[in-house]
Amino acid sequence: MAAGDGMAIEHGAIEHGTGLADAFARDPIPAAAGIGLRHTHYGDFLNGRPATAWIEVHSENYLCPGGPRLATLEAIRRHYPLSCHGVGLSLGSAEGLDTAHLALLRSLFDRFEPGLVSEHVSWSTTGGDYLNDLLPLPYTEEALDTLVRNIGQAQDALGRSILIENPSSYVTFAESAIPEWEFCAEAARRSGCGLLLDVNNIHVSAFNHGYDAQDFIDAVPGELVGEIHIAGHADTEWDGRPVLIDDHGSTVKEAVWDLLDAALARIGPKPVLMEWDLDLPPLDTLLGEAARAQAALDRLGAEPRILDDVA
Amino acid sequence: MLPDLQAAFRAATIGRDSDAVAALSAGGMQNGHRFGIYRNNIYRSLAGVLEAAFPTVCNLVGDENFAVLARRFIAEYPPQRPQLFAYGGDFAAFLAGFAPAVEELPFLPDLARVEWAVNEAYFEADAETLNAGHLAGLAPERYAGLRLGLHPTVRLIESDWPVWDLWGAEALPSPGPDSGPDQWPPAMQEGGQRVLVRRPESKVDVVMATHGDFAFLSALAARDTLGEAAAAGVAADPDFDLSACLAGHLAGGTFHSHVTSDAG
Repeated sequence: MAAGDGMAIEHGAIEHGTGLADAFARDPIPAAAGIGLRHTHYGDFLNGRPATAWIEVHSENYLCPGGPRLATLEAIRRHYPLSCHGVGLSLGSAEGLDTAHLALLRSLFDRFEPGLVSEHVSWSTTGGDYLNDLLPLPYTEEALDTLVRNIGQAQDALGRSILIENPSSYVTFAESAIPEWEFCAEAARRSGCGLLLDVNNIHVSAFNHGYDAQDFIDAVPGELVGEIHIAGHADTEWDGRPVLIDDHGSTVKEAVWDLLDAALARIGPKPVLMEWDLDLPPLDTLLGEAARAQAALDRLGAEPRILDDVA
Repeated sequence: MLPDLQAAFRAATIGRDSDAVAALSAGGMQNGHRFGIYRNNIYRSLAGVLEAAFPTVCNLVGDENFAVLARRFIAEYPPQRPQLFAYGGDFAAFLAGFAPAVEELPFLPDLARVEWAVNEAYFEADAETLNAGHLAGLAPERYAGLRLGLHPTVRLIESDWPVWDLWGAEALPSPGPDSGPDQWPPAMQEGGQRVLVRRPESKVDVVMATHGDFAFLSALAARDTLGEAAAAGVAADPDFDLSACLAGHLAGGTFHSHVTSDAG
C-alpha cells in the first residue's frame, strides 16, 4: 500500500554528511524474518538496535532530493540489510513506465544498495495520472505481454532483476483466461524476474473471488520465489456483503499463518516480511509478529538464527 | 483492451463517474459492487497525504470541510507522479480559485503556500550553510560585490494576511467580546506578514521577516549583489540594519556556503 505516514518535522539527532553513503555493500536478504520500516518507528531504530534480521521500505517514500528521511534511512541502513519495495512503478500500465520515476529509483538503489527490489502485478498510472492504489489487471495475453515488456524495461533501467508481488483484489474480469498464479509465474519466467509471494494477498483474493488459496500455493514455482510477505487484513462488509480488505492494519490472521506454513513447507525457507501500514502499533507488536514468522522458518529445520546477532 | 479498461478505471475512481462503473461491469467486470473500495482507497490515501502536508489549513477549516476540499482537489489535480511527498503543490492555487473557501477565509491560499513551503523545505536537497569562516580573509571592499546564494531549502512568502501568526494554529482565532462580525477574523486587522522558511539541517524553521529583511532576501534570491540587496532592504525599511540582518542569517543558516563575487 502507498505512503500514508504523516510527516514529522523533527526526528531528533541525525548524523549528517558522514560521507558513508557510497560505502554500502549489497547485503543479501537472509531467509529470516524482517519488518517494514515506517516513519513512526524511526526513533526506535535511531535510539536502539531492534532485533530484526532485515528491513524493507517503500521506495517511493525515499525518492526525495534530501532531508531527514534520507538521512534517517542512511543511519539505519548501516545496521540492517535493506529491501526496497515499490508501490508506484505501475508495471501493468498499458502506456508503459515513467522513465523519470525509474531514474529516481535507480539512484536510490545505487545509494542504498538494497539486497532485494520488488514491485507489484498491478497498475496505478493511466493517462499520466497516478491513481494511488494497486489496481487489478485482467489476466489476458495482452496484459501479460504488457507486464512482461514493462518488467523488462524496469530491469534494464535499474540494472538488476526484481521480484513481482501477487496482488490482493476486489474485482475480477470475465475476460481473464489465465489463473492468477499462472499469470504471475509466466510473467516471471518470460521476463526473468522473481516472485514475491504475498500469502495475505492470496488469502484475501481467494476469499473475495471464491477460489482455494491452497491451489495458489500448490502451483507456485518455488525456485522463482525470492521473498514472502505477511500482513493483516480487515474482515468486513462492503455494500452489505462480506469482503476482506488488504489494509495492513492489524496482526496476521490465523488463516494467513497457516498459509505461510503451507508455503514454507512447499518451497523452503525464504525471507519473510511483516508489513504494517495503517494505524501503526508500537514496534514490539511488529517484532512479535516477525518472531512468530521466524519460529515458522525455524520449524522447517532452517538454520536457527539468533536475531540479536544481527547488529 | 487494456488501455480502455485503465481509462475507464480512471473515470470511475478519480473521475467519480458512476456510468463508468456500470460500463466496466457491462464489459465483464465481476463483483462490481465492490468497485467503491478502489475509489475509497485512492481518495482516502491522497486526502491523508494532503492532511499531512497542510495540517494548519485542516485545523482551521475542520476535518469535514477539509475532506470536501481534498475531494475536489484530488478530482481536479490528481497526482502526476508516484512520489507523494511532491503531491499538493497546486493546493494553494486550487484554494485561491475555490470561492466558498476564500470568501469565508481569504487567507487560506497564502497559509497553504506557507505549509507547502515547509513541505518543500523538508524534502529539498541538503546543502552546507554559509558561516562567518567562509568569509574570513575577504577584503572589506569586496563585500558589496558578493553574491550570497540562498540555501536550497529557503522559501520566501509574502502575504496580505498574518500568515506567520496563523501557521501552526490549532483553530481559528475567535472574535473578541467587542468585535462585530465586520472585524472577523480579528487577527486580520494586524495586516500582512512576510515569512522565511528554511531547513539548514534536520529541522524546518518558519521565521517572520521584516519588510527590510524580506526585500533584502528577495534581492539575493534574484541574484543581486550584497550591496544591491542591502539597498533594497533600506528602500523597503529605512531602519534596515544590514549587519544585524547578516548576523541573524549566518546564525540561522539562510545562506548557501557557495558564494560568488563580482570582480573587484
